[in-house]
Amino acid sequence: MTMSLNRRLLLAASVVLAAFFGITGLVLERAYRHSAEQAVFDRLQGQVIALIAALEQHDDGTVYLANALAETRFFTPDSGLYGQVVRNDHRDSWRSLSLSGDEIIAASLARGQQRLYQTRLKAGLPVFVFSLGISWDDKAVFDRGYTFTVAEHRQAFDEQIAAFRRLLWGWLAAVAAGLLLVQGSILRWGLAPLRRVAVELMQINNGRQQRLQQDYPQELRGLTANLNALLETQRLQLQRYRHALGDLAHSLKTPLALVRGDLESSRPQQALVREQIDHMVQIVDYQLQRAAAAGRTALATPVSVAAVAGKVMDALDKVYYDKGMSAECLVDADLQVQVDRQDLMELLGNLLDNAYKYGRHRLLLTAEVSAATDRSGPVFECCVEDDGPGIDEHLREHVLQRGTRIRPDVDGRADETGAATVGGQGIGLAVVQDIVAAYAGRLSIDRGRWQGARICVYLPLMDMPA
Amino acid sequence: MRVLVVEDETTLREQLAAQLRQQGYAVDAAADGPEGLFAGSEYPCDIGIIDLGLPGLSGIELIRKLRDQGRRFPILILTARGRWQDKVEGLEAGADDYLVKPFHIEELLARLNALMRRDQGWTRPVMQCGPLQLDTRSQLVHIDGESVELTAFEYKALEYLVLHAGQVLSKTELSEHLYDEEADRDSNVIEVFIGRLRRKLDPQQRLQPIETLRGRGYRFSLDCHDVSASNGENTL
Repeated sequence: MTMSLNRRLLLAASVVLAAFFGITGLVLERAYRHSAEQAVFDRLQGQVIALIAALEQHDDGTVYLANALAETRFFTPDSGLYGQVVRNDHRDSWRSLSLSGDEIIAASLARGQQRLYQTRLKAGLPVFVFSLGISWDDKAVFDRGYTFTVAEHRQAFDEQIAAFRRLLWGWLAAVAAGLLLVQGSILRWGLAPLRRVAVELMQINNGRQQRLQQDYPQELRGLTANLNALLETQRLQLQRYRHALGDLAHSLKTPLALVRGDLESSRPQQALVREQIDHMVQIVDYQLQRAAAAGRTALATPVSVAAVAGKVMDALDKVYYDKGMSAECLVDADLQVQVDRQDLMELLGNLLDNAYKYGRHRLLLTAEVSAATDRSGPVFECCVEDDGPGIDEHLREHVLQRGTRIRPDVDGRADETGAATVGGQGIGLAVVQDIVAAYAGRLSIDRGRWQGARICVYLPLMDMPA
Repeated sequence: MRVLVVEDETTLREQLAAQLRQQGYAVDAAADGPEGLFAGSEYPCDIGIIDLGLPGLSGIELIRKLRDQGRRFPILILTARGRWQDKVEGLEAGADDYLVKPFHIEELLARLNALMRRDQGWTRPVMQCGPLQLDTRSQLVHIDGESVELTAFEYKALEYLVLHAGQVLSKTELSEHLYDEEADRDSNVIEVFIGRLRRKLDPQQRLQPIETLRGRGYRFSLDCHDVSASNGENTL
């Protein structure tokens, strides 16, 4: 299963926070330890200076404590502060009481040399050590130089570092947890509209509502508007299928009844059965075609009108080869419309088929998209006209009436005198009209430049949500 | 006149084949795409009737394959769905006309006639060859205005000769186009048949419309041109 958005974002935030605070903590800890060590060494240096001031040298070169030391820890056994002075020839030495027999292992240093390091007492106690080599100039004869060493137990230092560490990581963890908590609530708040969409979709699923009704943030509006458009298209399609199915069943009953009646009569008439079968075929064709129209949707891929028209005209040129019609297509090659491809083909197919059928020598297809105005969005306008007999005014209304009132001929092309009737226009135009209705568009019939029929369709196109 | 019928629905195929034979056509029937492809490639068809929804090889693919092989005979497609998408696709693939199922046999025959004429370069439905007039729609033949009684098969044979007027047609070629695979094809049969046709068309032997070219075959020797229907109807 794919991880939820919430979890992804929280996980990412946690990883970043952990890395950030981890590095910060390590750097802070190191800096603190460094300065703490520095402080220990500064202190030890001070103690060595004090020791030098307090010790004097006998004439024979041995050292003794001449002045009192301010630091009492030197005199308290195991106090943690230890002092040691060793003559570099190891003939003489002085050790503070606090060492209580122990010894600081320290190398002899020449005058002026100093060393800072960590080591252990002989008994194993870990200590910080500062050693300084000195000599008394005025008694140069005996002077071999002395190494003054002061050591301090690490324990206090380690405790100090541990305390700092506890404090540091404690705080960092608390801050990180706080940040995650804040992040979590931000996410919850930020993703709430998505949850609302899910809830609304559930409602739609349960049939409690038909579309997404709430107001959504701008980033989601494209999604929700398209979802609504899709739902609407689906709903209309379903409705069309239902209606078509109902109409189909209903309108088939009459011819079926006639056929049955005829068969049960004493003298069945073949002609009647044949006629009713034709009628039923037309009904089925028409109802299925009108139900199949996809209708207006914001999700339709734009199709090139010129390409579709070209295909249809090539096909019709073949079919009406004998007529040698000159067919002109005045459509911008770049013109693209957001109309279902199949609908467009059906639309152009039916309109052009009629023009090829009824035109004498020529026909013309024009198509363009008018710019959007304040009142309406862009409109796709497409007209087909021919130089045939045209459709009489009193018949236009008839042709435009929806439904199967007009009994179209089985095929106008077989009927060479059919041009005078509107029969053949029937089913094609009825289908065109249903597609136009599916797009909430408009259809008009009048006479064109050659006085033949000119049929125009106007389909309002959807503005894509920004 | 030899027609290839490719239709997977048995009842419709047999019905169609029977009706076409009744009209004097020689019929090769195929039940699926591959069978249709074989017949279309191997037999000298004059015209094809191909259903779009075929098993094995769709009608569109079948047409495309036949055209790729250089088979040029006119093809009429049958489609169950009246959608333009299907019609356009079929015509694009190389078909010449379409018919939406279900259809009337008269309508199919009219389309076949028109396609045959068109294929041979005739655009109008009536052929006038000297005193002989042949109406491809009503399938009537007149000589000097007098109607000539022909069987459907004789009419089809004459139509074939007239459509190929001026061309030399060998006996083999003629019998291949007039009889289907199942028929017994013997050169004697064609000779006897042509003799009968001559007697019906030209009992006095003054027109001599069908010429015999020794060792080469037959030729319809009258000059033919197409005219509009005589009853003043609009031309197609």
